[in-house]
Amino acid sequence: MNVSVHDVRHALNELGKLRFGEMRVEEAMHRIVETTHTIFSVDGAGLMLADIDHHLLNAAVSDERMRHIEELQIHHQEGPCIAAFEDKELVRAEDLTQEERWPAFCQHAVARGIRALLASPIPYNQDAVGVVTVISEERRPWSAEAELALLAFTDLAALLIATMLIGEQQTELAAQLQAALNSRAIIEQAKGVLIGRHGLTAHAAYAQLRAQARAERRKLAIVSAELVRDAIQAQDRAAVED
Amino acid sequence: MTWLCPGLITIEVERAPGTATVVVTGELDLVTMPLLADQLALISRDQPERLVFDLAGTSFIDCGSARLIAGAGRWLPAGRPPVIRRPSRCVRRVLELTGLSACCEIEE
Repeated sequence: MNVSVHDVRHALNELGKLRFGEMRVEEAMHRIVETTHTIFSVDGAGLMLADIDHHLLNAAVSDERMRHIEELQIHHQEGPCIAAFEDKELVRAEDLTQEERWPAFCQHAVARGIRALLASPIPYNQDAVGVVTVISEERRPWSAEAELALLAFTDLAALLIATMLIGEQQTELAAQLQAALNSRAIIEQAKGVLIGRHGLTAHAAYAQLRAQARAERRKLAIVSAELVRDAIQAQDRAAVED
Repeated sequence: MTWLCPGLITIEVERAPGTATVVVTGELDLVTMPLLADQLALISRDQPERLVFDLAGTSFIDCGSARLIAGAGRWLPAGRPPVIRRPSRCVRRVLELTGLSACCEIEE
């Protein structure tokens, strides 16, 4: 099934007419997700946002299978949406039965009727804040038009998120996102400490932080904050000894 | 110890006779679009004959910023579109998908 550029333009025009500022943000996200679902003729579409612990949680879904994706990715700590979020790149998976990148996730996703998937990160101020995803229950070679359409919907989602943050909407979702943005700074600093100390890549530093948080059953932001505090104290002590 | 600053983008403009080079380090998204637009407005005062975007250090670009870059430099002489130097894989993909690669010159 092909995505028509004409249909995408039309859909974006229609969505552009919505007055997001006056709408509840959850409602606006639902509209985006429903439109994405229709345009792609897919079996599901979803918009996930990061929480304070950098877990991707569903903010709006058009199909219940998106709930499986959320759960499986949090449980297995791997999956296409996580990859799109962390690498800030469009991730395409044409056939999860042949996929080698996320073995644990794929095995369970296929068992739940998810066969192909396209995920696009939502950028906001130098980092990703969430992911827009479409799924198919059949194998699906995603076309360039499909990728472009998803990028367009992702831009729209980013615009909506910016509106939500600037408008200081007092919703649970806005609070979740604001907390995620706040925790991001401290997680980035902790990554910086590990990179400086052990010469790790940013990716490896992040993996180490996550592993530590998981092993200690604590929040990623808390583990990060302690690491940064200890590093600062060690530096202060070294300065006194000098 | 090395401290890395989070969430920082730098947009630097290098000026040489007849050429302005915009070097972007970080990610180009909705939030940074006004910063980039400001720099482009400043450059447009000089109207250099050649406009180069060095995007080797640009790790992400959204469609809006891609449009801004590909559409920059309306004063440039005919046949001299903006040059995109060393685009990262992500930038290249977005330019290709949006068809904007046809409005600029890619330089390695």
